[in-house]
Amino acid sequence: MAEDETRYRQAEGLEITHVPDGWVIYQETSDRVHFLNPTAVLVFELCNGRHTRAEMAFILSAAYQLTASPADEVESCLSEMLAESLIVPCPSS
Amino acid sequence: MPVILIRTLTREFRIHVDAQDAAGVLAYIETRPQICGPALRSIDLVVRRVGGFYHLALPDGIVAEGTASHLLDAIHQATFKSFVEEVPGAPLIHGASIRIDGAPILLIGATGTGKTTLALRLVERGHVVEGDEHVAVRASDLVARPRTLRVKADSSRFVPTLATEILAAPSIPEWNGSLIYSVSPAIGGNPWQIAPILAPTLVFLEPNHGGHTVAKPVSVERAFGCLMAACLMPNGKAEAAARLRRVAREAQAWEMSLGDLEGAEKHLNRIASSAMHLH
Repeated sequence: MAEDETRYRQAEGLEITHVPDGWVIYQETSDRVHFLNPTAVLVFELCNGRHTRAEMAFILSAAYQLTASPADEVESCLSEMLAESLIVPCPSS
Repeated sequence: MPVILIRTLTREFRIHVDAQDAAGVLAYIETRPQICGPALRSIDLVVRRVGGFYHLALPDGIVAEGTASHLLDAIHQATFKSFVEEVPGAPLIHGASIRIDGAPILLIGATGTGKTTLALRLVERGHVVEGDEHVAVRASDLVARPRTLRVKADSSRFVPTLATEILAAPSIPEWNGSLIYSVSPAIGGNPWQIAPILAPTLVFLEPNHGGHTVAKPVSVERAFGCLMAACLMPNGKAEAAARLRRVAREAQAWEMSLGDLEGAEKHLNRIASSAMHLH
């Protein structure tokens, strides 16, 4: 099966505030507040239009010196952020 | 001429009333705590009888005319607006601010959870109550909104030593005709003082009518969620939510299923003692 080449970017209109243990994000369109823990913040930051899911998992693995790939965790995190419209897929080039 | 005093955090509204009957109604919103901080700025307002109604020119060019009850609503709105202006960007937690042996505790819960009755019980036992409606989360501390306790007649039976004073306090009728009383936290003999709150313990109340009171610690995540659900948010919600996150993260937090008041008091004493050891 071909590798998923989808990349993501952060949605527009998010108001982000840093707190000691993560980020608080206010989304004006839905009038919802989200809290991202440091790992979710890292995934969110990697949603800059340049990284695929597999690349994100690789970067997290290196950052946290993990022995196993966190592919499932990245998948779950991206799914939640997509469901909450915090990120959107980039149009394929 | 009777004068009704209503203090907010930086202002003292002095409402001069030229009619005794209107003064009796407006006494309900009299609010006279000692406010820690700079001297309050006085704002003099005059209620005049005009025909069968009353007239009051409020700050910002607002004019209220009508019955004494109508003026009471207008003054209430104006003083609440004043308080909100004094705490810019602050989310308002729906809760009571109390101090047990000096340890600040917020009792947080929706209307009907027993917050006011518990606050009264604590007043009766000599503890400090600053307010039981809103607590503003400022950038570096918290502060209670100056407001009297609003007590239903039925609640007075839970605090027998205060019942006579409660039932003599200024009152207004509710929609169903029963009276609700405006009771100063000074009723128990302690001065009513409002001071900045640092590192409070959070206690989220749930009603357990007729049962025993039970308390259990809760996680930061749960505390943050409960705070978000119990807040009035200002504009600038991300910053406001970040303030709540900091409070949740730095506080000890508990959930209290509020049944018997004696049990609640015991739990709160234990919680306060635990907080004092931590600090």
